[in-house]
Amino acid sequence: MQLMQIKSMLIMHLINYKKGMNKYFNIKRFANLVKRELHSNMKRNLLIIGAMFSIFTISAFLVFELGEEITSEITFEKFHSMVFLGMLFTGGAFLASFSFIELRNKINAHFYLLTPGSSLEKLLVNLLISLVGFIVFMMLFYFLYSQVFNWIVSAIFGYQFSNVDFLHEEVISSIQVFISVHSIFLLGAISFKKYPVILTPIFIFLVNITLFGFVRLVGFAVFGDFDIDNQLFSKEIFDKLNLYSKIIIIYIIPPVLWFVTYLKLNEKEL
Amino acid sequence: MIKIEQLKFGYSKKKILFNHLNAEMSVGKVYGLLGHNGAGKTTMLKLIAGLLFPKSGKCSVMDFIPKERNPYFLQEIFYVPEEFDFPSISIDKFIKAYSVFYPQYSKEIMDEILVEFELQTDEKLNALSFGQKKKFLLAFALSTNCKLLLLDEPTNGLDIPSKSKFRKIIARYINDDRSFVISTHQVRDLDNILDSVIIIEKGEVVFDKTIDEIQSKLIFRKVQHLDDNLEVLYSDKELGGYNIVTKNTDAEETKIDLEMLYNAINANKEHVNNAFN
Repeated sequence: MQLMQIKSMLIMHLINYKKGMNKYFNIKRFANLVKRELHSNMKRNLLIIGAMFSIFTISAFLVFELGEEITSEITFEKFHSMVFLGMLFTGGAFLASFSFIELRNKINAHFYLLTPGSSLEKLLVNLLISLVGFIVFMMLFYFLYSQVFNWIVSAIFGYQFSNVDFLHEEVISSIQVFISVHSIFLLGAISFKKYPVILTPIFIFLVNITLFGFVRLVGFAVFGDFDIDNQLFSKEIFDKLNLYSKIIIIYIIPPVLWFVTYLKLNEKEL
Repeated sequence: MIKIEQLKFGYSKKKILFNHLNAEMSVGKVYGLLGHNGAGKTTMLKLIAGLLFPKSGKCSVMDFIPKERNPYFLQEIFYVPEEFDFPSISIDKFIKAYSVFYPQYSKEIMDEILVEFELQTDEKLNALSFGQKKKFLLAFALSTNCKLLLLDEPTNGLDIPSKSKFRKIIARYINDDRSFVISTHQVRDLDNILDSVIIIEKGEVVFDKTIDEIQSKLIFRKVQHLDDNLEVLYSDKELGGYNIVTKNTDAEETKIDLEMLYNAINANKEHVNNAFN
């Protein structure tokens, strides 16, 4: 009898726990939110990507036609990697900036905020579509695009560009940096009521200038005219600083900014 | 269902709208939230929906704290704002994308109301007129079967036949499990559908009575001359006589004139409220 009571208590506890957790994340609700997001914003996202590829294609063909002949081996080798990363960062910044777009329109924001879903789910939807989905989409699509591009360019101009090596160390670390940049633009999307795609880079620039100025000022105050860059810091220290900044950019900035974005979404009022 | 206690809210620190707001609303009723422009009706609805957060005090709805925007809470409330816009998708697509979030959603109710409001499901939402958009959103709100419906000026933009249809639909779909809170300054549009009247003025609830209470304590009628023997709480001169509100001392039953009631409260709330003591 007692065992039965304990068992039923445990089951009740488990149900309550599950219900409590469900208020933060429920897979069915999450799937519905993804569908809703695709319904509302997919057309715009595809337009951004389409415009980006079109502008690049036209510009590239104009440069090939009107510019100097390409002879550098490095250019042939790295052309697609650079273009891929350029498009990834540009497109990603736009897509991230258009996240939570409903919140920027006071008339429609209530639809978004009152759609039954938790703030965590709404944040994850944006990460899934504009970050994970976008990276995967870009890899697949760029691979196909580069094949067609190479075929046409080879036929017209005789150039042979190498394919993107998505597993190359430089590409992988650039994608890691992209994740960090994306998290900054995502935070910008929820922080700026207007033009986040313009205001976020301006804000980043101002923060960098301020930080740089501050570091220089402290350096000057402590060391005076002493050339700290060349004489105080050894290669070892620079390597360490490089490692720390990598850790900060790749492992600390994204989760911290995602958390701040979550808090901002949670605290959003109309 | 809704309990607001000592709620304080302001859009800025200097401009406090609600200082000690108290209100209670129970399940199974249609509440009319009346007040002039800027009285705080929309703000109150937004606080109940969790779109605005109180500075202090308590607001609980169905045992949920609205500001937490718990998904289970959001599944049970639907807010129809005065102004809104839709994405450029068809009615059908909107229903498909949003109905899945409401476990009690009824396609039958949706179809029924759409027919009544003469709307086609293949029409693009952003191609509809404002009145048609409002009719669609009202239809969707009702078909979610949410326990609490918050309607902000729902009759604004509706034509005269639609206003009458709206009243009929509201009366048809209210039941013991749900409540509707309707904010309006067009009091005539809510004739015969309210169970309770709440009037707010300068961020304060100045009147909160059920229709039964009002009917048992007040009389609304038209007289040719103002008689000194009548204990008139409010009078309004019009062609051919006066519309008056008096104390109901003989258990007489008259039809409530919401506009008169509202004007009476506006003119002298203490006087009218005393009639209920």
